[in-house]
Formats: sequence, structure tokens, C-alpha cells
Amino acid sequence: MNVGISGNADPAPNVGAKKLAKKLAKRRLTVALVLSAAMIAIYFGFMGLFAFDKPLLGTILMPGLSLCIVLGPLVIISSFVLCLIYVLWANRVFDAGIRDLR
Amino acid sequence: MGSSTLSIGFFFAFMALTLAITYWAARRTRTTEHFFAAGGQVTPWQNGWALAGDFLSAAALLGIAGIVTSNGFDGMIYSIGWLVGWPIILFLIVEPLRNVGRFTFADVVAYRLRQRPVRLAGAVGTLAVILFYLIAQMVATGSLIKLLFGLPYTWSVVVVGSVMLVYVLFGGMLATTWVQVVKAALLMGGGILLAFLVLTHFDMNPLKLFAAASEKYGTKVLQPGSKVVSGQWDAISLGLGLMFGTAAMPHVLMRAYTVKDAKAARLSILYATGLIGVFHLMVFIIGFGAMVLVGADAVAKAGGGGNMAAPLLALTVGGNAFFGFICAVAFATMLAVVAGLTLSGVATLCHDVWTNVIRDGTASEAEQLKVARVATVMISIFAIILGIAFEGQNVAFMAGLAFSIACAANFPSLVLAITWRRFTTPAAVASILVGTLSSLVLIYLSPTIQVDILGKPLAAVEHQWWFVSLRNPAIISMPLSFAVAILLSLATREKNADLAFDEMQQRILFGPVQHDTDEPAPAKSAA
Repeated sequence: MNVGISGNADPAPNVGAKKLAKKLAKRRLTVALVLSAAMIAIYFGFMGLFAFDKPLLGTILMPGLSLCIVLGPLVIISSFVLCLIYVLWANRVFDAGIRDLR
Repeated sequence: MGSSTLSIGFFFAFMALTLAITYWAARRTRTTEHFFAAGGQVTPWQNGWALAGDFLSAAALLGIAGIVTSNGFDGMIYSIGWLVGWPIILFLIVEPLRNVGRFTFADVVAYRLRQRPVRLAGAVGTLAVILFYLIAQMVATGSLIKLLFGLPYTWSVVVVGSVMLVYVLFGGMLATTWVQVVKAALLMGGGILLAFLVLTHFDMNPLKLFAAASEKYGTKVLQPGSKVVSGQWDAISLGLGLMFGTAAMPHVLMRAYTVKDAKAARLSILYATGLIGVFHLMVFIIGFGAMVLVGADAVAKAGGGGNMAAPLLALTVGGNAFFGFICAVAFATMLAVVAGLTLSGVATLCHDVWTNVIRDGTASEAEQLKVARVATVMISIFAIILGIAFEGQNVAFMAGLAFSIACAANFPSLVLAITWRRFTTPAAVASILVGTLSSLVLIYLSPTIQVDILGKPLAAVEHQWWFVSLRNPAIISMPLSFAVAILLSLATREKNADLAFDEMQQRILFGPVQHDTDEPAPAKSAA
């Protein structure tokens, strides 16, 4: 392997920094997994209704508006909002952590 | 005739602009870094637009609007499915991809593993996705251009194939990026204007539009139906394929390398998600607008399987000039999408297959560029020939198949390579191949091929032992691919992969080590 395991090109050479880096990586993974789980739950919650309970999704709330016409765009909007949450977290917390470790 | 002249005029203006961009980009494309990744110089905002341009095919405007016009709400199932994969790219994939890889997703999968087998398998998965998606796009392009401009099918395919060849061959990623940006801006502008003009007929209130639709066609247009997606588990399977397939489409992933670092890649996914989301909301309005203002029957009568909904609506609310503009935008959209697909196919053939498998990572810059250009010509000719060969065939399923293969072949190996220390070479290879093959076999045994394509009566095949009732294979093929990857990883041991895991995690956090940027990034295996 020529992938720098030797340590001379390592951006975080000492053991303490390595531990912090591992912790930061773990934190990022946790945030990523929680947000992914939220997206998957929202989407498959919606698709589950679409597949298994069409009458509920087709409830007419008022003239020109049914439940699915409310929920569909909400799924689209929540995708963007989840992305925004991640980016704000990563730009503030994660990037700051990386800067400190460099 | 006036509208056709106008649309051809708009179209030539687009061609002139994009060819000028290509000429400008060609003078700046001297290395593989430029050819495949635009030298990493693209800004997040540009890349967000380019991602939207890469991803929004003619199906997104013409296809979904058509489905909404004829079926109401159900068209939105596709809109949503094509969007929800983007957060997954952002959370799980884009930063590791940007920091570890160089040009392709196989860079990341092969990073800790044995280069040759993994890259070859990765090439099979990627090229299968690109092949099916490209055929679907070329055939749709040929028939749509015939419909919109009256140009014969064969000529339409030849023109699109040749122009995309020029973009990619001379301008590489830089030209392709700008073509995508221009096209995305036109598409967004046209879509927003069209939706706006529709809403002016309804006091700017979408609810009045939906109410008018349900008055004319019944409340069923506001409710989920079963014509667009039939079968309960099929709907879930479609959802899986769209979500995780989007997250592993090679031409989308490749754009992570065109920006300067992981933060820029992260921002570009955010922008792309916003743009694509807004666009899909517009398309929903456009579809209902066409239903009410043009009429579902008039759209159906215009031919093209409902694809004329948006152009006809433009004619109704904006006159000849707007009709011409929307037709030209649709043409530009098709061109840009096939250019992006071709470039990612070229990256796989040149960077993965030629440089890292055949030449074992030793090819010179000049040689790689030459191979890239030969591969561009080959793929373009291939696309033209296949486009012509499949004229009039029902290839709509191929786009769905491309997403299913991406979901089952590319996504599991990519995620496991990034997150799981125990992941091994045999597991990666088997997972990609099983994902690809199982998707192909399942679709072959499904009604999509057996009934729709081969024309057998459903009653004759549905009791056969081999019959698969699902039209979307992802719900079987994706877990299968994951299972194969996990079992084989547990059954085998790879010391080098294990040792390199910590180094890879460091690299995922900090990016490539600064001073070795002109070395080939991925490690060659000790084996």
C-alpha cells in the first residue's frame, strides 16, 4: 500500500488528535444516519400510504385540495429542509472541528 | 408553420451559444483533470445548476406533465421519487466521494480493495446503468424531436448524437457543465413562466386550478389511482429504486469531483435539491394547467404518449413564440442529459478500465486523454446506432431499469466501502454483479418484458413458476446485493483492506493530502 499509512503525510499526527478526529467522524456519521432515517421514514411513510391506503390519501379536505396534494409537496419541501439542516450543521460544527484538527 | 420556424430559431440560438462555450472550454481542456472534472474549478452554485441540468431529463418536464394531465395526482409519485434520493447523496455519499475519489464512484469502492476486479465490476454496473439510460433518452429524443420539429426520427437521433459528441469530445467536463447550466436555466425559466401563466387564469391560487380540474374531470384527479403504479409492493419497490438509484447514478456522482472541496460538493447538492424540488412543483401546476386549459383529450390526441401536454399548454397560454421556446428547451434538455451520461461512461471506460485495469495505473496523461477521446467517439456512435435500432420500441422501462441497477449494483457497494471496515474485494465484486444481474433477470421475468414487450397474454405467464409479478425489481435486488456483500465479507478476510480503513476515514475527513495532488489519488493495491 502506498496510501500514507506510514504516517509522514498524516494531517493529524498525534494520538490525541486522532482520537478527536475519530470522534468527529463518528458524530458526522450519527448526524448523517439520523437525517437519512428521517428522510427514509418520511418518504416510505408517504409511499406506504400510497401503496396500502389510497382512500385515506385521497381524502378531500376542501374543494381543490386532497390529503395527497398536501402531503406530496410536503415530502418535497422536507427533503430540502433536511438538506438545509445538514448543511448548516456541517458548515458550522463539522467544518469548525476539522479546522481545529488540521 | 410559424411556431416551427420560431422553435428552430430558438434552437439554433442555443446551439450557437453552447458551441461557443465548447470552443472556449476546448482551449482550457489539456489534462484528464480538466477533461473529467473541469479542473475542480466549478463553483457550488454553478455545480448545483449543472446537477439539476444533468438530472432533469425531458421526462421531467414533458413526461411528468403528461402523466399529470392524463392521470392527475399520480404523476407526482415520480417527481417525489426523483427528489428524495438527493438528501441521501448529501448525507451519506457526497463528502466521502469527493475526498476519496478522483473521477468515478469506483475510485471510492476500489480504494482499499484490489483495484482490477473491483474496477471491472464497477465498470459493468456503471456501463449497464448508462447504456439503458442512454437508450431510453435517445429513443425518447428521436420521437419527441420528430413530434416537436417534424424532423425525421433517424436525423433527430444523428443530430443529437453528433452535437453531444462535439460537446464532450472537445469541451470535456467544462463544456458539459456549462451546457447543463444554460439548459437548466432555460428549463427552470420556461417552467416557472409556464406555471405562472397558468396561475394567472386562476387568481394565482393553485387550489382554484385543482378545483377547476376536479369540476371538469371528477375528484379522482386529486386522488391517488392505480393506473400509473399498479400493485402495492410494486409502488414500494419503485420508491426504493428511485430513491437509492438516484443516490448512485454515475453521471450525478461524477459531478462531485468538479468542485474544489467537500464543502463545495455539499453546497452544490443543497442547491440542486432546491432547484429540482421547485421545478417539480412547477411541473405539477403545468400538468394540471394542461388538463384544464388544453384538455386531457386534446393532449392525448396530439400523440407522443401525453408528452405534448407542456408544449400545447405553452401554445394556449403564451402563443406561438412560447410554444417554440418550450420545444427548443425540450430539445436542449435532451442534448444536455445525453452529454452528461456519455461523459460519465467515458470516465469509466478510460479511467477505470483502461488506466487502472489494462495499464495498471501507469498510463501517461497524453495517453489517457487520447483514450478518453476515442471512448467518447465510440460511445456516441454506439448511442446513435442503438437509438436508431430501437426506433418505435417501447423503451420507457429502460430508464426505470437504469435506476434499479444503480440502486442494486452501485449503492450497496459504495455505502459499505465507505462505512464498513470488514468489506472485502470478493464481496464488492459479487455485490455489484449480483445487483446488476438480478435486476436484469427480474425485469425479464416480469410483465414489463413478458407481456408488454414480448406480447404474451398475462394469463399465459402469470402461473409459470418463474414469473415475477413486480415491475420494479429494486425491492428484491437491492437487499439481495446487500446480503451477498455482507455474507461474503464475513466469509473472507482482507488484511490490506482492514489496514487501510483508518487511513481512508482520515481522508474522508480531511480530503486528499495537499502536496500529492498531481499523483493519481487512489492507492494501488499491494497485491
